[in-house]
Amino acid sequence: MKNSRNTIVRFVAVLAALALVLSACGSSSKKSNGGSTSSGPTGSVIFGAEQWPSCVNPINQCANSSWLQWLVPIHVLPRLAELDEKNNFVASPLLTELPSIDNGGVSGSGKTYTVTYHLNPAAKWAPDGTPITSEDVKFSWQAVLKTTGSLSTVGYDKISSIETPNPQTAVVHFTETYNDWPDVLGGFSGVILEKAKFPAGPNLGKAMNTAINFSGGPWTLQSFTKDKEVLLANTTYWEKSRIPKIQQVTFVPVTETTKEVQAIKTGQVAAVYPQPATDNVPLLKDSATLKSIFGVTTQYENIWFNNKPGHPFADKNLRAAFSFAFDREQLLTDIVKPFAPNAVLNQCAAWVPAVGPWCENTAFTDIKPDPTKVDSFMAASGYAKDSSGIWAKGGKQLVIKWMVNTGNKRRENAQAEFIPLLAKQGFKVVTDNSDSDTVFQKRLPAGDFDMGMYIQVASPDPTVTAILDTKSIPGPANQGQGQNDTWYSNPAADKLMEASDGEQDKTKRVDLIHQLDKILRQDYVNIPLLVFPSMLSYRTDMLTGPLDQFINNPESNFWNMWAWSKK
Amino acid sequence: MLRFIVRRMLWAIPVMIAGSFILFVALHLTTDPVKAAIHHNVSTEALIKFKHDLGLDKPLLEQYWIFLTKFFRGDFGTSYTSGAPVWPELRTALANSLVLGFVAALFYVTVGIAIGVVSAIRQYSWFDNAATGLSFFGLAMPPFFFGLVTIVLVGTFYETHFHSSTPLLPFIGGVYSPSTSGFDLVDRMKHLILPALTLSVQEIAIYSRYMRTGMLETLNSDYMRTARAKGISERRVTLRHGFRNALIPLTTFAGIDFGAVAGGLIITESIFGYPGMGLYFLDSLHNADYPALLPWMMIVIASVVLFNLLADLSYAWLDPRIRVD
Repeated sequence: MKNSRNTIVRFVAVLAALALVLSACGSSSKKSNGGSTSSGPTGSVIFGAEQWPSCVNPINQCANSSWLQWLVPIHVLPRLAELDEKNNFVASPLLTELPSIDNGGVSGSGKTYTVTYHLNPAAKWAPDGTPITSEDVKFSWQAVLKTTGSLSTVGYDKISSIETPNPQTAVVHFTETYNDWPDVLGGFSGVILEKAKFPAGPNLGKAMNTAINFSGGPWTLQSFTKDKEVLLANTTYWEKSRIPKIQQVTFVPVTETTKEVQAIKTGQVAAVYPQPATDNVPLLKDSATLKSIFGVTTQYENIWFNNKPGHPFADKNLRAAFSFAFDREQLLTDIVKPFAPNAVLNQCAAWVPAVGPWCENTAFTDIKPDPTKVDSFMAASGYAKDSSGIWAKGGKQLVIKWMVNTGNKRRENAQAEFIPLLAKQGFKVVTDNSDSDTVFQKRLPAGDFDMGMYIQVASPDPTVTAILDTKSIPGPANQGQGQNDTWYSNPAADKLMEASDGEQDKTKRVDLIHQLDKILRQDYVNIPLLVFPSMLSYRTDMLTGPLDQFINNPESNFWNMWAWSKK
Repeated sequence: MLRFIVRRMLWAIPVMIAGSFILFVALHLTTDPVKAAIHHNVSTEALIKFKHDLGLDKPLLEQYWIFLTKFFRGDFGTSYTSGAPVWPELRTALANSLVLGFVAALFYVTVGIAIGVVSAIRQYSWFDNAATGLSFFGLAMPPFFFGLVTIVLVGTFYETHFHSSTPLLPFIGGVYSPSTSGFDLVDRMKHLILPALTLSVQEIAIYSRYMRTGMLETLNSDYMRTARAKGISERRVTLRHGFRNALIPLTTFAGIDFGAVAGGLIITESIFGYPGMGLYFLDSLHNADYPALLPWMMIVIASVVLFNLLADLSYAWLDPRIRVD
């Protein structure tokens, strides 16, 4: 008996000791050095992040998450052009001015297309204090091209060379006219890296996994683990107006909605930036210590028709009829407004009003329920209602498969509400859902759907060639990697896309995009629904400052947290 | 005995190969790292280059063979997502899951067995009835729901009803509070309480039911009557003869149960943001990161095999009549 008890006690002791040893080596927390001793920035705040990137490399696949941009690069790494609160490209503190045709910074066309950047002589890397030079710009370009698994080389692959006549001048030569040059080494995801920190060369596939030990932004990255990210104020930042007022900002993952709500309501975190939804907006109402502010993102959600031959919506008349059968306004009222009270319908096929002048916001205003047009378009394609009131042709009922990703309550609720309504108009629509990975990685690229409800992102540059041009339809010519998943094809639209991509005059380009939008409307390429709302909830007893300045910006509200103060 | 152990370990190798191959094929059929990489307009050329960089343009079997040969040479590979070696992150995740698993197991095994023993000894008493009722309640309580309830209880509920300005227990920060630097045992243990409780609620119910049934069977067996007839005290009869024999069926369940810990406690870790094997699996799956997932699978299979082996060996310790070889 005694032996048995002793054995159990020993066993428990061994387990406890093992747990202690493992807990010491298992945790991923890093030792803090206490941070800067500057008398400027003060205090420390904690923010919650809805998603957590695997690593911090801004060039390879780690960057395949908006949250990585919001957590690290926008705070730590400099860029050439940046976005203002209206999503226009402006010079970042790294530049003396934004290149333009007027100031001679943008010149030539075709193979002589050149953009000349003048760097701010005051710009310096932290902590070593060395100047940020044109060599860093050139190295960053090479890094994007040569890094194994580089996320996107779009634009970078159109640069033939970068000249560095002096440390403050970088002359970028393109192989062809490239209007989206501000997105190269700038914009939302472009970054400049310190060349001296990478003596092994520009293939950075294995670099910057959990650390970026230099900074050219308002913050320095002290540590990044699976548990948290710690940013410290960069008190040596040359743009004095952007030296943070808070000494330390810590981000922690709060990836579950209930936890996120509890974390902000109990003051565990001072702010969260959740995707607004019916399960969090009502819980995050304004109170004595909590305030939620709303804006719009650059993400727009449409119903996209599959034009691939063999699918019902390859028939333009059917796309037209369905568009006039679907009540967009009702969807907005019943499905969207409960979590985004100020939401309005988007009226552009592939642009949004908050990003540049590209969306005229009028092309789709006439797309509203109209039974007469429905009947007329259906009749034109040879459809007639059968005895059960369903559209049929050649004795066969028309069945439309509506695909959304399972688990997305908003989209599933839309299906539940609208499928019976569409049935009353003779459209037999059935759900055809799959999990997110299957929808976005398999079924969309394979064209395995009739219609899908999903989000696209509007970039400051209005090109939609990659998703709507005939050449981008997946096929042997592009090794099946084209991204025109809806198989939309119209030579007139192709011509406008090509012309717009090569047009340097912004006014003319705006006109071309507006023409393109009208063609897309005439072709009933999709049913535009909404621009996805954004939301920031913060503790009024902990934070103050211009928290809503970048609410409509793809860089998130956290972009200007240098201007926020701790209460 | 040694031959038995070696034979069982050797069996693990084909099981690991088969398991990893099934996972590899399943992943290939349902996910695509190239498409997982797209979140905005990316040129066709860039995607083709990306595919080539990662060796994804090679035939499927060749990709798998490259992984397998490297794995058995001790090279766990490089993550598609981060470009970093897989092993350091996997090691940290494994250690974190083992800590949580051990702490939770210590709690739920102890409590579950204790409840089961007392329930059996005092069959049909108020304690037995209450334990039975509560165990059904526990069995019906899904971890994802219980985990969220505990967060609300220690969060806004506690603050409101106990007029506190801080939650009763921390529920953000993974293994430490965000303000903690370095190793802090107290903070670490505080962060284990809610996940361990969440894991335990169903397990206590299961273990107590198993134990109660096992004890009742043993207590009514002939050799127990013999032991009592010999004049051995009831306490000694119960603990020495009854308890030990009742543990045998529970050992099988525990072997499988503990073995699964290495696979991560996906729901619990996901709710609490606890960076263990479950969260590692979910992140890697989301990114279609084969090189990160395959070693995970190998470790899970090895763990299940190992703990089943330990369960078999423990039979011999608990019941000398059983010979493993």
